[in-house]
Parts: sequence; C-alpha cells; structure tokens
Amino acid sequence: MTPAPVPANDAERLRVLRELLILDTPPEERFDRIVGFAAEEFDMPIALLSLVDEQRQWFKARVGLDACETSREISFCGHAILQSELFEVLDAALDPRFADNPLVTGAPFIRFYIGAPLALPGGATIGTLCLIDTKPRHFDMLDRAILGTLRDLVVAELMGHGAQGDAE
Amino acid sequence: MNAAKPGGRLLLVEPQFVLRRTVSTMAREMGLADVQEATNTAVAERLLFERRFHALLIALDDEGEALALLQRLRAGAVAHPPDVLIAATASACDVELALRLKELDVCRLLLKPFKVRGMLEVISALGAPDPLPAG
Repeated sequence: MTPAPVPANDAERLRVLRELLILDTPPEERFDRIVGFAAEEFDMPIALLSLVDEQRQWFKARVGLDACETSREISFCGHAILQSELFEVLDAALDPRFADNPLVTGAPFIRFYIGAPLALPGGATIGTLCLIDTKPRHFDMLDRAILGTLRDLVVAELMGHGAQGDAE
Repeated sequence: MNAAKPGGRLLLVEPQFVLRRTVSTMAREMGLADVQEATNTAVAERLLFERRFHALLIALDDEGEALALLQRLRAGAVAHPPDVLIAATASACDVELALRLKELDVCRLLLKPFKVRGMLEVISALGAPDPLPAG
C-alpha cells in the first residue's frame, strides 16, 4: 500500500480548511443533498464529502458509510487532493497502491473510487467529493463532467455562494 | 469541459436545485442551449414575459401549476409566442396525463427516476432553433 502522500503546502491547506470552521460540525442539508444526488445519479453505494485533516479524513456528508472518519494514511482522498483533475481508481484490487489497503481488503471493500478535488479559489485543496463502488467501474467523459459540476456546487456552498433559500 | 456556443435559449423549470443547476451548467458547457433557470411556474411566467425561448423543459408538479401554465401558454394567455417547443418531466404518467400532454403538444416526457444524462439528451433533442429576436 502507498500511504496517502502529504503535499508540500499541507500546513497552508490545513489552515484554510480549519478557517472554514466546518470540521466536526453536524450534517447540513445543503451538502447532504449534493452527496445524495451524486450517489443516485451514478448508482453508487457510497458517496462522500471528505475533508482531509492532518491525521484523518472526516466526512461532512456521507451516503452508504457508517464511519464518520478514517485515518488519512489509508484514505483514497488523501491521494486525490494532490491532483488537479479527477482521481480515478478503476479497480483497487488490481492497483499496487491500494490492493492491500484495509479499505480494500476489508469493509467497505472498495474496488472503484473516483474523487473530485475540492480546490478553493485560493488554491488549497481541502478534500473531495468522491464516489465509491464495491465493483470495478468506469466513468466516461459525460460522467466525469457531471461529477465535476457537482463538485463545483460543493465548492460554491463551502464559499457561501450556494443555493440559500432555494426550494427543494 | 470547455464552454461551447449555446444552441438556443431554453427555459428549465425545475424546483430541485442540484438537478436544475447541474443540468443547466452542463447544457451550457456542452453548447446544447443557453439555459435560463426557474424554480417554479411563477418565476417561469415572469421569464417568459421578459424573454423569448425556443424551448421549455418543465417539471410537472402534483398541484397542476405547471400544466396550468402550459395551458395558458398554448392558449396565448402568456406574453410569449405559444408555439415554443415543450418537454416535461414527471414522477408518473397515466392515460389522463398522457392525453393532456398530447393536447398541449408536449413533444417529450421524461419519467422519474431519470438522470442528468437523460435530461441533457432531451435538451439536445429539442435542438437549436431559428435565430431568436432580441429580448
């Protein structure tokens, strides 16, 4: 297993994340509805809004997973935050970086992962909107574009530019 | 995905924010249409008054407000040309609704559960119109 790498700008990234005052806060409907929509849109058993803290990834919104956090070292999202584009693992069981990862060999038995990095306007990537399946999958160009658009909605909400007052 | 030149102006009437915003953003980026968004029929009617659209994609609500708007639109009781292309989304469709939609010349009906991909296909099928007058 390749532990999630730590980016060179991690201290600044963590400062930005903590200034949002969002870690360990209760669930919020504005994030739950985006994550729930993503799970339904792509028929994914697990969808997460994951924020990568210093030692853990913590889930602000989650579908299909009971845990509210996991260690950063074994997190897929810890890899995804180093990317500028979507980070996709087609079959974790066949990927040397993840094949013996406890999240692959044990619950939730990840096989497919795709994460859209949450890059804020200042440049800090604080987490991901990610989707997980227990079987290998593939996202085509349109799927990827839709996920990217949903990620942009999450970032807008994080920046306070979301759908406040919008009817659901 | 890079933004492309829109194919026409479409009014999307959809109360669910995530679906509405995702579809409108994608349609613009794919160059399918310049999508204007309305959360409900009251907002839609105001936009129809203010602008000209080549197509309307509207979510049918349980209260019948969307159908009532379409009825007024086709009857010329809305300040917009009545011959606009119309597609609809709905949670279900019985014979009565199907006949009503046929009377209203609704060209496509998308039933739940549908995906963003399906709505984009409908928008694409509505096609690019002749050039719209300014306004």
